[in-house]
Amino acid sequence: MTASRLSEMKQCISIAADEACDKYVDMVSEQLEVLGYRVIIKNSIDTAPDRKADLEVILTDFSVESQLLLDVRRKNISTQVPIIFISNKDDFDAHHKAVQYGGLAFIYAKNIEEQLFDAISVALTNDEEAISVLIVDDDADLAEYHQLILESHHIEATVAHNAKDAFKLLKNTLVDIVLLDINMPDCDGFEFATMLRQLEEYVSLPIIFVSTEESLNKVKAEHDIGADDFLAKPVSDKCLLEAVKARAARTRVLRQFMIRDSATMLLNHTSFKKELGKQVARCQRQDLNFSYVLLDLDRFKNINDSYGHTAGDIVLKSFSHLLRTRLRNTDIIGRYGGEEFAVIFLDTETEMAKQVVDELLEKFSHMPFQVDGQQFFVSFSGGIADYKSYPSASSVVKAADAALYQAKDNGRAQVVIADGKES
Amino acid sequence: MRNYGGKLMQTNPEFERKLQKLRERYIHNVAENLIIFKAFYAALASEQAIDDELKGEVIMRAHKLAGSAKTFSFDELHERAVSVEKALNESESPDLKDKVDELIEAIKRIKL
Repeated sequence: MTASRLSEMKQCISIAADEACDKYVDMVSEQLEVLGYRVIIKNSIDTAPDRKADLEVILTDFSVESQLLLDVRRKNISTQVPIIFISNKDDFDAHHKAVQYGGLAFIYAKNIEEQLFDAISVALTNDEEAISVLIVDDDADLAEYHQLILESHHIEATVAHNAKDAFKLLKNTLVDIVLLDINMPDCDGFEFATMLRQLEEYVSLPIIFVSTEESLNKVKAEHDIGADDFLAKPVSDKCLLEAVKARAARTRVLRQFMIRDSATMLLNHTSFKKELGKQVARCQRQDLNFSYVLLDLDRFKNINDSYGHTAGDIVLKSFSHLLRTRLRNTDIIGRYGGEEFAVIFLDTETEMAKQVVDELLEKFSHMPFQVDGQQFFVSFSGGIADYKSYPSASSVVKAADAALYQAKDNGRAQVVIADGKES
Repeated sequence: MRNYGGKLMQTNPEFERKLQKLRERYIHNVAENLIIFKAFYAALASEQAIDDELKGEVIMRAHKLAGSAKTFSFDELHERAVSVEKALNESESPDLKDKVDELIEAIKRIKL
């Protein structure tokens, strides 16, 4: 990890908006500028995206005819630039139109205050995590052929030749979809699918059965099976890719709702704890280290009391956004609850983690927040402990918590490393 | 490149290399079925009772070939394997022996 990754990476966002959206643009650019973005506002779009900007967003209100809306309709813009539609109407036709024009998001004007920043934040995060598929087939040649096809289309694929190995792989890796052969020795595909459906963590895992037409018909006739799709062998490359992509997109969306905190889109407490457990196991196996950081916004209750809950929300969202965009993709970030957050820095010693968190603190505590003309600043305190000194989930959490308490006690707005002693 | 059984076109040389390797391995593995199918053919020809274990093994292998051959562009092998699998699943199939023979011949013919 390089310490410089937090240093000046001022991003530039170009927002093209029609006149009807002007007031929304002012509101959201203020929030974005607080976060350190430079915002360019335009009233029209060129066919080529703005090269100066890291991201272009189009805001358009289609209850009002505008040149921008005409351009969106005429040119195939949605493939290049995320479009956020804002409408005074919340009916079927409005939503339908937004989809037809290729909109990334639809916001009902009444909810604009809560939703616009989130929509832009989603566009910025650019979550292009690869889809991950587990192929379970005792025919090694066929399994590897399917793996090759998927991988050549940037889909991660792992192969298991029997149900037992597949079960082990599922426990250790994040899988979006299972492609499951039916006729396998020992435990067949049908038994394996039934087994997975009896386990809570796999209830919603999409399973696509892949077998000869005859086997599929037999299974469909005899069992009420929890399958999401059936692909008859021989499967054409096109069918394989289409089935996988369609399932993956849906799973992604559902999973986000299940594992993330809706206000900040960070991992919720339960999923974060699970992730911590996984990392402890990984570090134990491979003799690695991670730093665990607990962060708590200073005097947050005062912000809510003095400036209202909307101000509190903006602070929470801005802080989460900062964590999401300024840390590495491999860092695991969660909202612990209230104003408390936690980060797992993989393969990172405490000193390096402290350097990164100190830079975050420097950046965040200088962000001016504004409510009704009043300006205020917010800081946070942090506690850090590492797995090597505290080799279990509970002890590392406890040590980071004690260090955080120490930071608060020392006067807040600082980050403290646990002293390595069991408390 | 060859358009494998109406598959999506790929132009990546790394992909081509891996596919070629997979095909070579597949051909090698398919040939390993010959001993079982030949044994089964001999048993059918001798008109003696067929060992259940042997029959089960043949069903499993024919099923596998039916599912994979077309993917590797061996359409004839696919057809032969499907007809043997079907015949084995029927209670009576007078031309089973001929079908097994045709499958054996199809296996012998496959090459890169």
